[in-house]
Amino acid sequence: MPYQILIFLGVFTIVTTVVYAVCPSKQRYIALLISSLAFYGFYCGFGTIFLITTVVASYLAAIKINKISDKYSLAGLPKKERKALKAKIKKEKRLVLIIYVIVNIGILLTLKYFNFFASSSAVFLKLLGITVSTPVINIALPLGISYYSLNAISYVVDVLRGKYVAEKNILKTALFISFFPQLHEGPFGRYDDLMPQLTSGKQINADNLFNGIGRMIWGLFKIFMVANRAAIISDEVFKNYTNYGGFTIIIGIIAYTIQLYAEFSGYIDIATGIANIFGIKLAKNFDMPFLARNVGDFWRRWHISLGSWFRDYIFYPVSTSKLLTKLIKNMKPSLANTVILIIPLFCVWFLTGLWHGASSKYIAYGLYYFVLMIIFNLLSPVFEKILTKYNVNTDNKVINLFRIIKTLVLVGIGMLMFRAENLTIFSQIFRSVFRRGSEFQFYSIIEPKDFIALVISFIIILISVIIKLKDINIESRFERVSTYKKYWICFTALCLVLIFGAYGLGYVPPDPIYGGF
Amino acid sequence: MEKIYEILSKIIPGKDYKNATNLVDGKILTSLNIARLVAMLNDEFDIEITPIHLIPDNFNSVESIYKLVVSLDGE
Repeated sequence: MPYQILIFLGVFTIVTTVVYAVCPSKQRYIALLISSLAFYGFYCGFGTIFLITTVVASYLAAIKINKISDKYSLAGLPKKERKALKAKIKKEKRLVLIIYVIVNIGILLTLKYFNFFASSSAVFLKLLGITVSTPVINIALPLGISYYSLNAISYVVDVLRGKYVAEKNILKTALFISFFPQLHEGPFGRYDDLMPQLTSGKQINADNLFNGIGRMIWGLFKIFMVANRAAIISDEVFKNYTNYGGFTIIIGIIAYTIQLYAEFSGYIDIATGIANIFGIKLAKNFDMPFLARNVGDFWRRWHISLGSWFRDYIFYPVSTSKLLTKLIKNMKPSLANTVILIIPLFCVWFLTGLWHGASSKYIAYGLYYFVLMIIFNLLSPVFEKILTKYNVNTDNKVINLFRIIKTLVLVGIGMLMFRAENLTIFSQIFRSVFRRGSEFQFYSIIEPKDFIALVISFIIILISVIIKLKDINIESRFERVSTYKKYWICFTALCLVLIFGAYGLGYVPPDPIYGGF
Repeated sequence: MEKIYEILSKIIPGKDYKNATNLVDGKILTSLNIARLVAMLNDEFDIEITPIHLIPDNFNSVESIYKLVVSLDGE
């Protein structure tokens, strides 16, 4: 059913808001938990068992790690013995973490990646002349498994790192992992940031309610006014790419980039808006990504919560690991700097690609950014030296505009790889950019009224970006408006989306792209 | 402290570390070379700096890095 997830989110938000409001303050987090589990159960059915397994495993692992710390006392020990005991504690904790990660990632690997790895292994063995039949797992991927699995890991790892103590109440651990607005497409949350908010038991007030609804409508606007209409163009271009050439393919890539941004950030706005109703602030996931000056900057602005997860739980552990430190210890500084750049970044981008999906296309997508990052990091000091030598102001508008355009081109190539069904098709489409094709009959693909609505809606998003650039905070201005005005603003905006939105007869609803992860 | 100067000079040579108070805020240390610095400090002083400790205040000057090392060594 099209937009099933949005309907579910809408219904559960209304019911949860009512139940939450009438619950006593101390039990409100339980209302959120029951609602989250019911949401998951209705939507996923059997898949809920995997979510519950992750919750129980995370709870037990964190408690066990804390117990190891409590078992030993370092006080009063001489330095040498203290160090030896610390090493022993660390070893015991790591063993628990390893078992936990095997369980948690094991579920994810089995459900999401087993078929891919099995078929890839069969292809590899066939090249060696060995033919094997591979088993296939036919279980639908549970909703948001790639999101809640990583959230759960961050919680246990941070307990191990001593950032906070383990939660003794399993219901609270369960709520952190399963909070329903962020199950579908994130954003990734951190326990120490979210838990106090989830359990605060704050009563719903008119400000939070209208701010939340306003943000949800902004998300619906992005999805129904922009993403679904941009999808009409991108679908046509990518489905019939053999007919088209240079200019049309570029239009298709631009349309897909707009579609992906509007849809993904739209769903994040909806999740953020729902959480706002309960007085909860979710992590920021976007910060004007298309104004990035290099690809590293782009990933600090796009899917921010995923990037910071990989930074904290992959990049730093790999780059500060004893193995890597030993490896570079006797290397020349320049070589050591390069190696310590390449190995952790490779791990981050290989896994980022794999996180997006079980296919070689996604791995290539991750590695594409890995190569760009390496090139950027190795070349930027050289360019900086040249620019300094010739007294060029590196922060002038022309150079910055050039940087933004260069980044947009590189990101566009990444988007093409992301959208193409496989790498062969990607290379075919990429080559089509440089050849002539049949003329693109714009209005045979998208009706004039849809195109006009798309352009106007896109301009509205651009205006919101310009307002942000001028340091005007629309949200805080909206907060200062009277409740009566807020009601009418929200009502009018919702009516506009419902009347002019691209859905229903004559529109093919595209699947939420990031919802499939 | 001398050892910390030495490590920093190995990672990014030619900077005046003695008077620097904005190594992170002034973008002399980026997230990439902080990772290398952390790895070398962990190895040299047999400590464990985790991402929890990775805040600008801990890395803005040699003195703050020294304080971090001492606090972790004595934990």
